[in-house]
Amino acid sequence: MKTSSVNLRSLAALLWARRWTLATFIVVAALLSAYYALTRPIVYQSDATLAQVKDDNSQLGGALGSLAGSLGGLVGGLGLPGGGTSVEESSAVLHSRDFSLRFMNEHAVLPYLFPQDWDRVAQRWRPGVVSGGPTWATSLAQALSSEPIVPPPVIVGPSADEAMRRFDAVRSVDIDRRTNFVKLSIHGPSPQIAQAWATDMIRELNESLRQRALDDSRRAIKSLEDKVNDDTQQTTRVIASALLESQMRHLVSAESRREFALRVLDPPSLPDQRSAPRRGRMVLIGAGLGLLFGASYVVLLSAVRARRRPTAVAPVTGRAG
Amino acid sequence: MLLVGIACALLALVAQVLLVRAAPWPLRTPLVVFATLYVLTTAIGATVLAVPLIRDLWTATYPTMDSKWINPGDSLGYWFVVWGPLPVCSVAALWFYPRVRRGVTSVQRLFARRVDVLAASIVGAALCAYCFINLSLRGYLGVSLLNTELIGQYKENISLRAEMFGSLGALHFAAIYMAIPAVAILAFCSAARTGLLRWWLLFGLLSFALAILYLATLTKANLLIFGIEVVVAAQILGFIRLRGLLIAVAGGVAVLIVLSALLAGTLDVAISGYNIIFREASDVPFYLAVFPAQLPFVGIDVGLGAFGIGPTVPSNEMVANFMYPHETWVQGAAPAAAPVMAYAQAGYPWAFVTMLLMGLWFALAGQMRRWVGNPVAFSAFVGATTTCYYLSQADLIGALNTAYGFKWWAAALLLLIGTQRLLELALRDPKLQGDGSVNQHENLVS
Repeated sequence: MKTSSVNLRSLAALLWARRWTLATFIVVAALLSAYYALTRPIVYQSDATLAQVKDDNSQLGGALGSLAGSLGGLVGGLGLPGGGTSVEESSAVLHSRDFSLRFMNEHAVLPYLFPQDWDRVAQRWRPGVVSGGPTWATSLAQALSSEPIVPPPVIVGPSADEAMRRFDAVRSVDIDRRTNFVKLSIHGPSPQIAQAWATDMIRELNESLRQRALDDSRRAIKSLEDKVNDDTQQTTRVIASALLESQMRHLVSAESRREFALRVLDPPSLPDQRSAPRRGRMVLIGAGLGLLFGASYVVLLSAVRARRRPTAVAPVTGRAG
Repeated sequence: MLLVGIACALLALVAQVLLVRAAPWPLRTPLVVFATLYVLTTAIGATVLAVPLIRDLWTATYPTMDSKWINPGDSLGYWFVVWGPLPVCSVAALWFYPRVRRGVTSVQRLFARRVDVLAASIVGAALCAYCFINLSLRGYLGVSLLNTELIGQYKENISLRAEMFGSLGALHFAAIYMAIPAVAILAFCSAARTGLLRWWLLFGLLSFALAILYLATLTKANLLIFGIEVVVAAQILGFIRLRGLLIAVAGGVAVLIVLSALLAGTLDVAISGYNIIFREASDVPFYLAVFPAQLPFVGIDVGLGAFGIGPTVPSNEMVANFMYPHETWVQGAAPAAAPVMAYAQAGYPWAFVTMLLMGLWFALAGQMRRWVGNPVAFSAFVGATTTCYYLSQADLIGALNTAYGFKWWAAALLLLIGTQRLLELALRDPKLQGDGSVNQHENLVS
């Protein structure tokens, strides 16, 4: 029966013979990861649970209430605002570029996302931190192409695209498909800032959606009022009045509701422990990687040395395993 | 036109049987695997949809599908795309088979290497570790199709799966679709040939890890595909004959039905069987109706999408949007066989060329079977046969170049060979052989 030199016992013997090299790798990797873990910025996570606010259209009273109810489908069909928002819409706004960039600018999130580019003393971006403008590639392309190439405009500070990418690590929105509850998690440099950012984000989301609904309702009311006053057809005026009442109810509801789109079930938490860095785990993973790299190094080194010296044992062939 | 379709179907099936009989035995496995799965999942369904009564039933069983504007089987082109692949691919395969022998032989010499269980274990463990760590880092480690929380939550499951596809990365899916199965099949072949417990153990562990990883990513079909790979391997190794093959097929269908029930929450054998016939076949008439009447052909995909060359939006998503215009909670996809998707890229001429190229692939796979005495080459052949299956479910470039592309299977085997070579060099020092004298003695005895 022929056997192969490639077996666990031989590998273990090789690693044992180079145990001090392995130990060096492990210790150095553990020290490096400890240094890395200790120099990482501390991050706290604030969590909040939110629920969709139901539109109370069914509570519509008055003589025209039943008519407005029967015209409910018509409201949507005409493109008039319906008053409610879905969790998907709220989530989409939270992820939107417009909302996110506005939030980052208003709450000084950008310096936190780009600490190396921010001058803390002067409270401005360091000189040379610009985004956009021509690059060597666009200049080269311009030289080669007959078509004019328009580079993106020069903006002082980090690029919006990069800011959006990094902001994704700060804000996380999860929708539970069974309950339709939304879990909002915000990372911040201190427990208070994380909590404040989460609170402000929920408030501004509600305000943003409220403002949008108010604008829509006001435009609809203006249009319907014109219809009620000017139209000569009695039937049209009755329908317009019913829709007007419905829109006014939406308007009052939007103005009066404190939480317009998402209701807070569990307010943003004030974390008492950091969420990152997890130093112990990082050191352990570092040591594990050190073992892995050390073993690879030992095997590679042994293979290179074996290639250089004349073959001592004839290559083994035959039964696998 | 229905009669024309039935005539095409009969002609194609008879031609396929005759061509398979005329084919050299190594070529038969790729031809049979493709033809069986293509006929079962595409051709039968796409043909009977031309019958008005069946069409009404079909419309009723997919209520959210907008099928009012299409008329399956209304053109000769439809029947060419549906039944043409059987004779065209087979004839092309027979023509290419002797002509690719020299090329495959030189490449197969690269694969015909010995691999020990240690090298296979290291590569298999590294791939599995990568997948589990990736799942853990992305927060999906606790997810499984068997979770009581997820059973029956169809929309939640599909949304979660779509989210995972975006977040886990192509390498993760390449590992679970192709790379780990490549190592597992090698272990299976080595175990069958040597009978050594360590190889069986490695095969069992890798299969178990694969099952967990498939359930974790909610991709039930891949569990069945791995089962097909093992069955094909067992059949080639002589473990199972026709009766075993039938039992394996029945078992595979049962697994699919149970997993579908876990996904959707209802156990219905008839619906599952119905879906096997019509799920993918339903897409064919839409491809023919959408391109080029509703949308222009998307352009030929040459696998250079990463460089911005080729179609920008996958045709299967475009067709899905036409099929289910009101299903907006997730981006759907309408998978189809390679010739159908080739039609969406550049019409009938490209569909015909794709059939010829598929024939070339079958010929390559057939030539690979001549080398199955070596476990690595055996695994390469099973991978090539798996690609024959994927050609009945995806486009040509997809079957070679995406996460389920053959390139990942080949890459895993090259990694195995590289690891083995490295270990052979590193461990050939006689001082490291603790029982070296025994080995030498065993060598002398043998």
